[in-house]
Amino acid sequence: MELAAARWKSESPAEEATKDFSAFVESRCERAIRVAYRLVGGDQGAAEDVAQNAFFRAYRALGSFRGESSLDTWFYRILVREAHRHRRWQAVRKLWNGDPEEAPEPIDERPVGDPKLRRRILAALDRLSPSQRDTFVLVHLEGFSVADAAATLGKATGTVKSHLHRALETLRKELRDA
Amino acid sequence: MPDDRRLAELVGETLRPKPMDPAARAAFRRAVESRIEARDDRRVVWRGALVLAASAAAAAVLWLESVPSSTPNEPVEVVREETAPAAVFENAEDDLSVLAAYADPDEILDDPVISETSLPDDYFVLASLVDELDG
Repeated sequence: MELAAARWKSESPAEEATKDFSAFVESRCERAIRVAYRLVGGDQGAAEDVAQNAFFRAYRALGSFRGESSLDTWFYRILVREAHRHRRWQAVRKLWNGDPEEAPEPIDERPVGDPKLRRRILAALDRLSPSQRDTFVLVHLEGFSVADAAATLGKATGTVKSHLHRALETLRKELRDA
Repeated sequence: MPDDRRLAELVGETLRPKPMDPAARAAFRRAVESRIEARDDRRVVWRGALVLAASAAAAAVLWLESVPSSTPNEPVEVVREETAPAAVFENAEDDLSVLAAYADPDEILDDPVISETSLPDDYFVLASLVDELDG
């Protein structure tokens, strides 16, 4: 894909990404899919869709990137929002299709080590609020610093710490004997 | 009770998507590129449709302007139909005056339907007597 870099009249922090968006996608796609996978509840297909949507939106919005945050912070903020959007649609579909308890489990083509443990962990994550889940995934699973997670989520560091504390409390309780 | 680090490791290991090989990464990148190109194509189609619609609208306006108007420009003289005088309906008992307002005696006589065969015989006898008297 030839990018019309001249189309984008952006400031210098985005120029590197705009000039070769393909390289941007390739360098970040694996991590983007992993973050999305953990945010949407372990569905490989949904994770790839969410990641693709995020890259697509990032491409469209690249011209408006002002460089106030790092490109990664900006991109993962888009990704988290796409994951939220997916979860909202998932909730609507579950309600529309009938009994939410009968909804099919997320598809994972990998051989699962312990399906019961996986289901327990997914159920425990489901008990977290969206903010708690986001902060837990970014900080404890993806290695974001509290400051980076706060910048990505658009929250104060104190708020992020509070969400982390409550997320861990819930997970400890749910996975006590795991 | 697992400590927080172990808990995070347990969750992270369980929720790990399948790793991406270079082919998978390239396929993913191509999928993103296709979406971007499809969006650009749709924009071109929409722009084209808009131009076509605007051209069609302009052509329609020009055609309407060129069609001569079907009604004459001079003022049309309004011909008022004679209506029955209101008094006719107010005085329903005066049947003769009503008949006089509407009936043309000559028209009745000229009516081809009224022929000698449609009137009673007595009428013609009386009519012939009257004619003889008039001479």
